[in-house]
Amino acid sequence: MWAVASYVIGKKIRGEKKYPLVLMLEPLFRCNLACAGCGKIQYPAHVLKRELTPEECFRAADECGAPIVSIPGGEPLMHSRIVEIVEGLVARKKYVYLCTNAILLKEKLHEFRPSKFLTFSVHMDGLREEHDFAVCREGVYDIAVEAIQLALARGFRVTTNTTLFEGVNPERIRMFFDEMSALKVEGMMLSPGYSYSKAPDQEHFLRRSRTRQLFAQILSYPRRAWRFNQSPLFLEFLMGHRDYQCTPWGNPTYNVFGWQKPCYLLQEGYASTFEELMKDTAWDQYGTGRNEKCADCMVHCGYEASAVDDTFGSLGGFLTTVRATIFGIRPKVKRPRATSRVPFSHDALLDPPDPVTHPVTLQKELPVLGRQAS
Amino acid sequence: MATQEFPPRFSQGFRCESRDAAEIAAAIDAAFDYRGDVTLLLDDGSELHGFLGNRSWKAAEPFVELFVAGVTAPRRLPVHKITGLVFSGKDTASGRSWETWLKKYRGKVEAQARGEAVEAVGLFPEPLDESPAV
Repeated sequence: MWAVASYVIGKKIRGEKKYPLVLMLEPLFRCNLACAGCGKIQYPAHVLKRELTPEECFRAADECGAPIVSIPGGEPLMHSRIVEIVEGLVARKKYVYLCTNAILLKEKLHEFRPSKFLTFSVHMDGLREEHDFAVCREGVYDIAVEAIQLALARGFRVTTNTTLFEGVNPERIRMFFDEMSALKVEGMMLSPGYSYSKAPDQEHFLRRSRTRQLFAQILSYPRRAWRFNQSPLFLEFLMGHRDYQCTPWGNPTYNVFGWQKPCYLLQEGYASTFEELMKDTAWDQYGTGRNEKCADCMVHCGYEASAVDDTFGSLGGFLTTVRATIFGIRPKVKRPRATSRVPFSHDALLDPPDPVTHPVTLQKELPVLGRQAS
Repeated sequence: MATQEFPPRFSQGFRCESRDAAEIAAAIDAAFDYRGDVTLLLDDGSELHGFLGNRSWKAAEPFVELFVAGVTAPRRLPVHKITGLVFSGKDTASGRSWETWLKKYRGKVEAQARGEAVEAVGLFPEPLDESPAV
């Protein structure tokens, strides 16, 4: 937190309006899963076999200068030199988030050394049934949970990252937060899925109003045990409490094709240097209301940087962040008292209700876990 | 009422040979979005096969970058040398993996409901061929 704060404040003092916060480093596109909601891995075999070298990764990190490096993919643990890449970034005092589905984590964990600069960010899209359904393979949740427990036991920092799609049950997502909190992960990260045009499943991406409904229901009256590894203002943005414009340069993306224009999600071309990316991208053509491809996007890689900029850009933003950090994110939706666990339903996954005819609403009879305000 | 073009114009097998720069430019843009290999037809009569990973119209000399199997660095070619394109490789984004998954999952749920013994189901990435990594 302090590293990010001092970095952002330094940029503000120098009057830099466009600065990167998180480098999204994709060292390969190959993956050991075939999730239908993913638009990142559809390439010919010879492209899937390509890997960034450690030197290319370090050059990108040095060029960009962001204090945080997120390593998604593909599955980064399939990279032949991932340990070297992580060690080099840690040596540069970058806060590294290695985003993994954890299938290989147990096998590879001994190759890494615990560090305050290294966090395994494990992809978890819900409880066992929902997660396995989302990644299109049964058994992955249990593998990931075992790997999380092992990594924590060996002294590694572990967070989870969760992408939510249409059809999820808000109450079961709350139960999922309880389970992850019980595992004692350091924090949880959330984002609505982005509607990649190349993703095989096009039916379940959340639209903007639906995203707000869903996150308001999930995050209202958060339990004390929940820890989110995200800006509280971003979470309030997801809940519809505040509005931000996208900051597409906040999370610049570097991969085997170069610096991706304009952001992690859209592929409109590539620049060969970070400077060229920043200088030649028509940034004002992207973001809410500016581009139809951005219409429903509320994803962290565009809007979390906006929230962080808000925190350090005004006294109001700073005080709101302090308030949300101390007292929790602002509740909005009143919730009924808990009675029992919400059971898993195959029907909810296979035939989710139509969001138009059945918008997310709080039903009085809907059971909710734990102590709730009334 | 607009009708959907079927099969889509820029799908596997699409071929464009033209002296019209705008037509070639449109085909290059489509090839950039295409998730399969393409074959570039060049003005000297040669052909080049690979993945079109980038193109730039703003450069002083507009270019494309082609990633060729087994070659580390992308080949950068000026657009004016391209006289045609063929979407020659398989479109890796055209699969029906979502439907395949639903079918598998439904099948398992129904078998469970009938009291039958079931095994875990899942989708797996296609195995990569034996060509060398770069």
